Amino acid sequence: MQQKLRLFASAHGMQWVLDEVDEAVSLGISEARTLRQSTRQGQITYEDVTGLDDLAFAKSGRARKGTEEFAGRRPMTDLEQVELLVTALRRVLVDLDGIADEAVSILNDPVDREQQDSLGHAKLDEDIVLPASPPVYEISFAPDEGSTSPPISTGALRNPERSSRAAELLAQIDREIRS
Amino acid sequence: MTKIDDLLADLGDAINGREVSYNSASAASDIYEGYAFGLVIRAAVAAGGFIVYRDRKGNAVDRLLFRTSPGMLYSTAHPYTYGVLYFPGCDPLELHVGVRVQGKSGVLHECDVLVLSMNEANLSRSRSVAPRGTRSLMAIECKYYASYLSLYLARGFHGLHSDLGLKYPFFVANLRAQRIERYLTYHNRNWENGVIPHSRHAVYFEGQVREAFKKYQSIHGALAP
Repeated sequence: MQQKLRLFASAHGMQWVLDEVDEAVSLGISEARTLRQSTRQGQITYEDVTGLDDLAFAKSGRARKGTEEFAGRRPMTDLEQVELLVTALRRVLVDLDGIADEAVSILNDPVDREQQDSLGHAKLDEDIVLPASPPVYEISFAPDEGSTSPPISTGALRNPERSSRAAELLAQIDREIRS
Repeated sequence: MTKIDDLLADLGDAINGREVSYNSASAASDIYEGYAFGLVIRAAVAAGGFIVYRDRKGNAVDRLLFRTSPGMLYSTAHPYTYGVLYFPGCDPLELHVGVRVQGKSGVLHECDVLVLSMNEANLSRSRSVAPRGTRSLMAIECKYYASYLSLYLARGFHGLHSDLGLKYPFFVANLRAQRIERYLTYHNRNWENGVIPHSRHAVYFEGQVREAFKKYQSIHGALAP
């Protein structure tokens, strides 16, 4: 299953997504452990009391005093690795389209009409009058001098139908890997 | 063919209509910077500001053009867009995407979204020099990642702003990452992770930016008679 997803990502130019996922997998899952230090017969021992709340401490007759949090990590399970990959694909193939859409929407949204008079001017102070900004249709990105990164525009990403189809398929894949 | 094979084939068909390549992380970062630019503008308007978009020649624009990777504010390679932000009684501010800024050490750094005074921006354009971090107001470090935020991003942000010395640096990312949040909090840095459309974190981030603009106005705005 994981191999098929990786081949798909690689075939569609998303090696950088795989690299990111691999880095996350190599680091595993962060886990905090709570250890309680005590001394028995002159020897210092550490007891794992992770997850015990105050009530559990009271019932067990042990004191919370002497406990300390330690950071640890555990390896990801196969299922967690596949889920991470599917989530990463969703962030690139679906969420990014939504961000492109929102980026343009926001720029048209914030104009406070109450700050503008009926002629479409902004009144900031008595003597300052500004023309109202025209609506924004698109954001494009072009490389500056010396840059080789590819140009892109929000227009190329904003396609709700395509996004929702990709989201639906990824949800089905997600269900398949859990079944 | 298994069901997964069929689903992946369908997914491939669905995304093949997209006119943009997925073969680099830079496209994702660019789009996210555009989104963060919009959030800053919405926060500025919420703080009582008024925004107009200009290109290098001062023309009003309705199709915004930003840099794919950081460049010099005074660059003439393309008619890059910037926002001009007016607050009542204050000197105008400018908002730029992907520009280099000079740190206290004299080294140039990259700012994904930068807010600075129009005077400093005019100096940059007229003398072809990078704006100074110490004379800039706000910078947003934007991180869009597919699965994982490395701690070095937070370390880089902390080091960057130790040198830039501008008043309001913010770290925003689309993902949550507890160790990054802990590291930045420990170093007293402003951050908001999980900033994506319609999330409460986006609202929180806008609130932080609005607060910064409020303080700017209270300090730089004209006092009422």
